[in-house]
Amino acid sequence: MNTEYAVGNIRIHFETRARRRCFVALCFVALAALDLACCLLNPKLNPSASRIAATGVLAATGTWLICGCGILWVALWIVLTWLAGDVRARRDEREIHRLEQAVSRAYPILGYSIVALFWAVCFGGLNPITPLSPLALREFLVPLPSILLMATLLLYVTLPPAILLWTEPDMEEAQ
Amino acid sequence: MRAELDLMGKRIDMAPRARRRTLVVILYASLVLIMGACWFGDRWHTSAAYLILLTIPVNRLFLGGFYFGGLIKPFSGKPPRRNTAPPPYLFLALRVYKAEPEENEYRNDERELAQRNSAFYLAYTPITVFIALLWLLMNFRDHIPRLLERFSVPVDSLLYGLATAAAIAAVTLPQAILLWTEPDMEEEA
Repeated sequence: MNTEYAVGNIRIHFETRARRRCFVALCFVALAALDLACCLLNPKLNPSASRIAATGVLAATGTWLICGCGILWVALWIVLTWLAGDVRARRDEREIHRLEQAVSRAYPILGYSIVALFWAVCFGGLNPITPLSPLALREFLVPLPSILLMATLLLYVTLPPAILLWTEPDMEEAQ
Repeated sequence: MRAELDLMGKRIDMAPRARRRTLVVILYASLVLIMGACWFGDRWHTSAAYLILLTIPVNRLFLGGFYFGGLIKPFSGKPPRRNTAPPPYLFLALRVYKAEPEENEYRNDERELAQRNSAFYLAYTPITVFIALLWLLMNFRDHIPRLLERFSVPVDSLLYGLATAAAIAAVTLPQAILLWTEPDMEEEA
């Protein structure tokens, strides 16, 4: 695991656990914002957004919001993966043990996300009950699989490094 | 990992790796067959939900891991929840009711924890394939539907089937990897 991130002459230190945890929290806030913006503000995925987007105001703002959230998340993800270190790189026994432990903690969350995604697809229309439900509920169920799938995908790439950063104790500063 | 499978009161020796591997193959082949049969039955419209529920008895009876029962000890290392009410007669009749387990039946030791972590690590990669395929399919459906026009199968059904397979794999794969990779167990002295 790396203890600092350098951009030009600026060095951001991540030796303390509190700082790493703040960073991980920021990453997940950006992830949630990106997920919701992509799925709720996209008229192709959310029919109720397409009705409001007819005015044109939401469409323009939504595009900017999606782009902004996307850029922010990618930037944070690059820093996150840099700090966690290359997964494919040769590691010592302790690092392998910690990586496997992080993945084993991430796996059940990912598994539950996939099962939730299945139920979202199921209630999204391929069952005999949904067509009889109120319009508002059906409109909520339409973008739900996309929201969950995108969240699962983002969690898949974010969770193990995030768990590594979250659980690693305070490190000594590099000499 | 347990060396014996308790199947309705009958004890089956699962110490040899070949037997465990056979069990894994049989389980996955059965799940694929049932999934195929459900496709011909109702195009998974109603049956897919039952397929997911089917993984609960599969885990409880054969695999274990996410539930108490089966060959693998619970990943959580916690004992099963106990009800103060007497056990249902059906459970007793089918001989699937288990009395209060010993601590070594649910508590993982250090070696088992390391094996569990390693199995999760190995299972993490195949799950990528499912997530990536789902993402591609959903994107094509929403943004480039003409690419999927050649398929004779409705895209929604395809998506539903893939989500079902992904969910089944997610809740069974680590246990299957553990059963597959564990070497032959020594017989008790």
